Amino acid sequence: MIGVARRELSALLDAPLGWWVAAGWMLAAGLFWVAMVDRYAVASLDQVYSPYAAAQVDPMTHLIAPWYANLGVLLLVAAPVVTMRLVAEEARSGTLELLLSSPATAAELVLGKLLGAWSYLLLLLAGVVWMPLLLRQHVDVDLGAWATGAAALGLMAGVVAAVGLLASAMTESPTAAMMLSFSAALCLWIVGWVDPDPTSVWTQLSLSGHLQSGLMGLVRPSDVAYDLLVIGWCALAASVRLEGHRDP
Amino acid sequence: MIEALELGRRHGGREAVTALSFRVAPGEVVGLLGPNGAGKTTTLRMLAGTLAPTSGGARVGGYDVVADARRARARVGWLPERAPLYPDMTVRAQLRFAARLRGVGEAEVEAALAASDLREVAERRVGNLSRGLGQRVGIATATLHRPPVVLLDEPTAGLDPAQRVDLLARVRGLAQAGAAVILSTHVLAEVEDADRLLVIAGGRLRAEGTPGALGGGEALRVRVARPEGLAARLRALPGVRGVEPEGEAWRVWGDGDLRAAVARAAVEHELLELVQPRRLEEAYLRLVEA
Repeated sequence: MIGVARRELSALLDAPLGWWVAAGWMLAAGLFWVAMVDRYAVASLDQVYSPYAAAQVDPMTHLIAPWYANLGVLLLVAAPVVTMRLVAEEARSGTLELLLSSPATAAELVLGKLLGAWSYLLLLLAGVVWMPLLLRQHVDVDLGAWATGAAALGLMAGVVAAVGLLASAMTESPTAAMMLSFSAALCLWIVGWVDPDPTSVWTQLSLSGHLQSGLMGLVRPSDVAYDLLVIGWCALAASVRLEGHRDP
Repeated sequence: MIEALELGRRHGGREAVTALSFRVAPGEVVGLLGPNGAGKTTTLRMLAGTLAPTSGGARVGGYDVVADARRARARVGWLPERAPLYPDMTVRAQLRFAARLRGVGEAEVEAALAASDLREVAERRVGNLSRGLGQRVGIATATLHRPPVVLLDEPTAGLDPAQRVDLLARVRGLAQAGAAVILSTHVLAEVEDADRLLVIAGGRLRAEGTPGALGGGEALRVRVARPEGLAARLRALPGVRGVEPEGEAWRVWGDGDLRAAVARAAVEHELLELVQPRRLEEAYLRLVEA
């Protein structure tokens, strides 16, 4: 499993695709950050003569959490590109035979691939989530809330990696896998819009709905359980699908 | 050891392989012959554990390919027709990855590089190698864990004659090291040196036997009046690789043109008949068209 994870991570880090994704990610995340810091600075200056209002312009609520939400949207785009080749390319190129003929079980292979892609997405996150800490010279950043938000994004990265892995296991075309993965992740993201009531089924199914509290620095067991359930279900389905190559 | 017992596989209502039974002993190279679509690859994939049988069963290295699938797969070296190579990896990285999958260490990687004469290209990307070198990497990948069972599906496809000879010599080396080897091909010349042949067509086993027994190579049929001691005499001739009885006559096969030498030996036993009855191609065509 670890060998497969290392292979997937190194395949992304050795290939131009991995660096293009990283470059695009850094650029987009950086642009969002600069624009939002600028807007936050203006908003703070507007409140300079109103100490009560100024206290309400909390950096976590008005800057870091919205920026984290934007990173979540970027993950929806980055993950399908990162995961599209995981199984589809192996099936297309014939290298799946090497994996299937090894003593490793389908579950081990799937977990290895999931860990590899997830690790890459975590590296992308690690490359940018430190940015809010630069503000500590000027404003009070709640380190606990900052870390909780980053962890929530890390879990979300696992969810979109798992969705991408499942999509990749469904087809031999990496492009089709990318489209399928993006569509599925987007549906999970926006499904809560059907009924914004926090108790509705739609919101409970929603990826963005389960991200909000975490981005604000709140740890809700139901959010963590949702992420782990989606990851587990997708990994299981991908494992069944991979095993299906042995018994089509 | 490979044992297939009534092995079968259905694909969408069609029998791809039907009730295939055979054995391959350690140290033996068995040629799996058959036309395209005969079921060769399906058979090998079932033995390699990458395709589940739908009927019958098989044991490789002493383990059932279904009930003990994990252990069985650990004992197989499998090289599909399209070698499972990662073009973005270096040769060394490819072997290291295969080693991790197989749970073997760096020592085996280095040994495989040395045994396959790949040290000089160890740091080159697999995608930049020639077809012949690629196949060598494929064989090294399949066998670096020193499996007791080696399955090769048309490994010489696309190779030039020199590369083909080199690869077949490596295959023979695997058997000499104790592996049970199945070599699938439809190039008959490649299996004339095999210990036995399995001919399949339409998913069924049509014939099994030595190349000589199946009418292979440049086999000669010699009949004499006084056969006592003839077999030993023929076996001692340079170039002779096999002598076996066929009715009242003897079938002799080996390297090069043996007719003169066999005739000289047979004359002393009162030669009655010396013919080259048929070539392997003819026997093969007769079998697969039957």
